[in-house]
Amino acid sequence: MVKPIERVVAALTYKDPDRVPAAPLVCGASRRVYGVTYDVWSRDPVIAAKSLIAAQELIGFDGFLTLVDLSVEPAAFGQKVLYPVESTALSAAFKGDMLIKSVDDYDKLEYVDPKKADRMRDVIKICEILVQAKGKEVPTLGFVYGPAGTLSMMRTLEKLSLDLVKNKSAVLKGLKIVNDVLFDYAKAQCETGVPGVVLDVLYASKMIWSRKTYDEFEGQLCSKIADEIRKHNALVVLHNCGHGPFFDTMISWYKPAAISFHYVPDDCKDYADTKEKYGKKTVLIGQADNPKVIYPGTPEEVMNHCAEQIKVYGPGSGFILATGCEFPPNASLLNARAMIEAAEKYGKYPMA
Amino acid sequence: MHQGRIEEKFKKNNVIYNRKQMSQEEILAELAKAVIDGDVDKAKYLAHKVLELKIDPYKAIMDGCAAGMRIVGEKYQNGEMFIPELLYSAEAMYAATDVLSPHIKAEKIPYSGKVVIGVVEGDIHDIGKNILVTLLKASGFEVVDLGRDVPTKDFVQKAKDEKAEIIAMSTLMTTTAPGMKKVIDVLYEEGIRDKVKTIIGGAAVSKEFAKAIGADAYGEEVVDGVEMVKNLMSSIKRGG
Repeated sequence: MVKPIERVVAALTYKDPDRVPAAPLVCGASRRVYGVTYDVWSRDPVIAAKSLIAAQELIGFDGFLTLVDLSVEPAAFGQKVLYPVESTALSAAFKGDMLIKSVDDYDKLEYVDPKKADRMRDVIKICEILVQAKGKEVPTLGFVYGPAGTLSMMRTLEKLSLDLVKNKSAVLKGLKIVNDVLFDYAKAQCETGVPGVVLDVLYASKMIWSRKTYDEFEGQLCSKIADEIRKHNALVVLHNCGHGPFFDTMISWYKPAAISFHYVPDDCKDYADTKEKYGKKTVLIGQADNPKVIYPGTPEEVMNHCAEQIKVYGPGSGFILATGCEFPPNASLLNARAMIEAAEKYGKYPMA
Repeated sequence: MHQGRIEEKFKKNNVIYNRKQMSQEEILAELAKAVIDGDVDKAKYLAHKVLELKIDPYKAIMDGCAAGMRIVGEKYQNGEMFIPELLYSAEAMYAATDVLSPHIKAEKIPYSGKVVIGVVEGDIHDIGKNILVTLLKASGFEVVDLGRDVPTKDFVQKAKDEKAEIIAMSTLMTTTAPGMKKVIDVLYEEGIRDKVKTIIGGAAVSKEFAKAIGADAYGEEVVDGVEMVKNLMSSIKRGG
């Protein structure tokens, strides 16, 4: 019987696996399999890891992702985080409680050791547990939110976007410190033995920053993290669930083994165009639609939706069926299972 | 900005525009351009110039500020402008409207409709909502912004108090998306569902979700939200 890790490796090397690998990016939703509330899942790495393992055994997905939430990284710097009982943890910056309250505060950010920092050490622990428990069968991908995203969680995207025009040097100084910490955070994840790390580069998309702004404020810094991941013989996987992601920019900075995405790139018109333009340059991970199908749909609708994607992206391998972003934490788990069944039913290789 | 620098900029602008002897149309076109360029000082200067030349301030807001902001919205949608530029344009628009608004006689403002808007309870991601607020105002709508993490009943109560035609709700998280349906349920409970239309948006929701919860419209992107509000207002005026 083919193991998930063999299936994923085949897809990543453009060889035909037995079938399309399926990874619905079940993260926070795993708490429901283990039977704990979201606030507990978010703060206890052992429970989070056990939940992920239980969810994988129940659903049968082909890879773990150690995304807890996007406030893990800012919490390390001292940003206050809110933990709703049954929802994703949130940075309190969006409620006005920003760590960076003024432009002067960028200068006050200090280096922290990710292995000791609040929340980051928990994610490193989750990586360790998953690699030890399942490493030979199911691949685990680490997760790091990029420096721009992390900084915005301490300042808000609006204020950061205004600051970078009028207070460029202050923002760049803040980003440099954040990037140094994220660099060591990615390194620490690699040291646990994960075969790859996902870098979330959301701001490389047309609804947020221009290519020029992205290059200047994230690309040139964050590409050093990608280089470090590769030094550990781990794969660089990018995630961008924004509208119109800049695939060309992302590939140029990070040379990723794969890109996980929700919307078609800004220079493509549809799935087929994306496969044609980028399918040979990087492995494509996606693109099951959470808001349209995975969250509101039935398992049958999910299977039909996935069948369409497999038909376009599957031929020639280099494709992993996944949700465009984290599996909705409160969606029916039957829909995650339906993605695996779609891969089993419609994704067998060889494929025409 | 330091007062001295503002005065310096005003003097510089004065020299330029006094030399030009601009027509009303040219002033309004320049005002629109200042908004597009996100030039706060120039927008504020031109707003004062509008008052000095006794140009109708309402016309200046609609044909200068709002016209510029509509172009910004289109450019954002087309990937020609991005969040930083858009935010500065919004600042320029508000800088000019703050100068002009006190001089508008209320009876001169045609009523286009009122929207109560907010991010649903449990969610605090509000940048998309904030952009929509700016673009709706630029399109001539009255907007009552309830902010983020808005309790269900507050949406309905405010819509009743303000006699708003539309409630607009957004969320980025599926865990808080059910709050949108709760608002619609309360509209039914209060017996005013037929009087208030609902529109939803945000990364966690879709046209399919809108249909499932009985919302009247869904905007996939911020600029779609403006079009949807316009369509809903038109249908209300037609008695729909």
